[in-house]
Amino acid sequence: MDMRKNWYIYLGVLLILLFAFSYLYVTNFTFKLPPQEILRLRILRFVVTFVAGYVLAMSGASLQTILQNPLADPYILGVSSGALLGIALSKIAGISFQYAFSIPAFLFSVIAIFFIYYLARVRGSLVKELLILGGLFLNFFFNGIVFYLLVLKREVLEEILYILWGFTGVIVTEGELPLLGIALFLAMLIASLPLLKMKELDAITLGDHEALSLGIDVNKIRNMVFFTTSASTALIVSITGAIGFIGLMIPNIIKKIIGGKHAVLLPVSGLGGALMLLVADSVSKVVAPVELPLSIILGIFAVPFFFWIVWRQRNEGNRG
Amino acid sequence: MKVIEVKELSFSYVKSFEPLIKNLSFSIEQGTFLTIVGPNGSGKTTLFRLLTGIIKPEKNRVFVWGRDINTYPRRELVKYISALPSTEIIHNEVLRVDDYLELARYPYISGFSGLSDVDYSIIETAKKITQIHKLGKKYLWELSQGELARVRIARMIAQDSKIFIMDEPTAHLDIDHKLWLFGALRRMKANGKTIIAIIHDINFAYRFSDELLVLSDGRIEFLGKKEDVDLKLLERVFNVRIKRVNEDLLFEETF
Repeated sequence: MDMRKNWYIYLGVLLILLFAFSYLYVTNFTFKLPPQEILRLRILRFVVTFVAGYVLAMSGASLQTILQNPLADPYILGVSSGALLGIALSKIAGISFQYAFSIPAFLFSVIAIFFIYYLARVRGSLVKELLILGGLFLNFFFNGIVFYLLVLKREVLEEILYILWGFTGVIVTEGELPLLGIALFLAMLIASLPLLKMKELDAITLGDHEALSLGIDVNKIRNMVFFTTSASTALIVSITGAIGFIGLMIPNIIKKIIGGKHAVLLPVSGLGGALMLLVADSVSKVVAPVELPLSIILGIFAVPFFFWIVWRQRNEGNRG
Repeated sequence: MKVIEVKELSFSYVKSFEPLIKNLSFSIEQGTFLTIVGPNGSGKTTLFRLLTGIIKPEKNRVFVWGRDINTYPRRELVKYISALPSTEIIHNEVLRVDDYLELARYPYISGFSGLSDVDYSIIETAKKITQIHKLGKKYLWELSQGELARVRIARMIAQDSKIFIMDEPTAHLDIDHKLWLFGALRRMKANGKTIIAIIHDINFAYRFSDELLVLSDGRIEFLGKKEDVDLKLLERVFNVRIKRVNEDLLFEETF
């Protein structure tokens, strides 16, 4: 059942789905284009959602390779909540310029990923459980502080839900539009940088020692991926809040369907992530009576998914 | 020519613990076939990792081709040392055999350029030597242990480095593949390569290599031509009684 031979068919299907869904999204499932004003807002939300999905899925894919753990994802590892802490601190410090948030956000997300990495590294090898548990507790810790800080600042109280769990319906003034554009473009660009190291990432799937033996400077690649994923995640989180599970689900599905070579895995994960987040946002807008934060909807998708991964890993031992 | 030189090398993962490698000094000449033997926990694998730079030794402790191993960029080092760590790639679902073998040429390609015809012909030769040309399109996880061992040897050959260092290359192999592997290594030695292999089975090590390095509790008990090894020393290190019959060693338990 080697589906990988026909990967371009799957890519075609994905692209068609993506285009079709993009149209449905923009027309809000009415097949009619709305008046100019509303159309502009919808397209803005579409772009934010698309880029956020792209960046998070691509980050998840690179992190999973570099940490050799299919459960790695910026949200689960505490990278996103690190970024949130940076944002909450900026808000408390009275900074009102939203695009300045991404700098402290980046700082804390980088700290989070390196902290988790060195926590889980025992005598030169990564302990899978420590990686995930470390992320879990880092999330509790960061989210606790974020919640506390935001509650202190009463005027952001009603935003908390959306900051903590993600929302792409951002409101920007005409003047801020170019800045938003630049931030989204930068996020997409930085998240795509691991594409320059796809051979090296392929080699790292063989394990650190084997990759080193092939001449790959594993530490250099790892640091690079840590920086690109935390920088792009921090940019996205400072626009949309923390959106989880995209980076967990999409790359694993893509790996299963069209294989794990990074030349294909990374860009296709990006597109898959965009589609998934558009779907989740539509559910949020259309299905629920109030707009639900995205991580809530994605979390519901992610649970059966998580069991699927655990199941697969369990069966791996029975092979050969 | 000393291809590898070790000077007063000690190592422990945790500083406060007793070192796993204790003040080793030795050198290895070009064109040697050396096997490293020793009981479990004697530090064989740690020594392997230090000699291949997989873990970094202290400054000026391990020299490869006369130069401190830490000063080589990784990509440069593998042109001198081809390392075969004990297998961890069995379940890889990402790469096919051909992809894996192409990665062997990674140190020789620059930037965005792909492999050259020379690279492909080197890979073809490696496939021929190891008789794996039928496996090219298979994913690594689909291979049997014996096939995987051959594919990894092919990777090592395709790297075309000057020194081959292997950590238990015969583990999990059936007897026919073990014999094939030692034959292949001897041929590579004849082609001027320096071969260093950690071998769990002393009998195989004794039979096929030229030199032995006996490691016990992080120290070198013996290093030299296998004919010169004192059987009493081996008996003490491995806690067995040993008789030599022709070229082979026979073992008896001591209790």
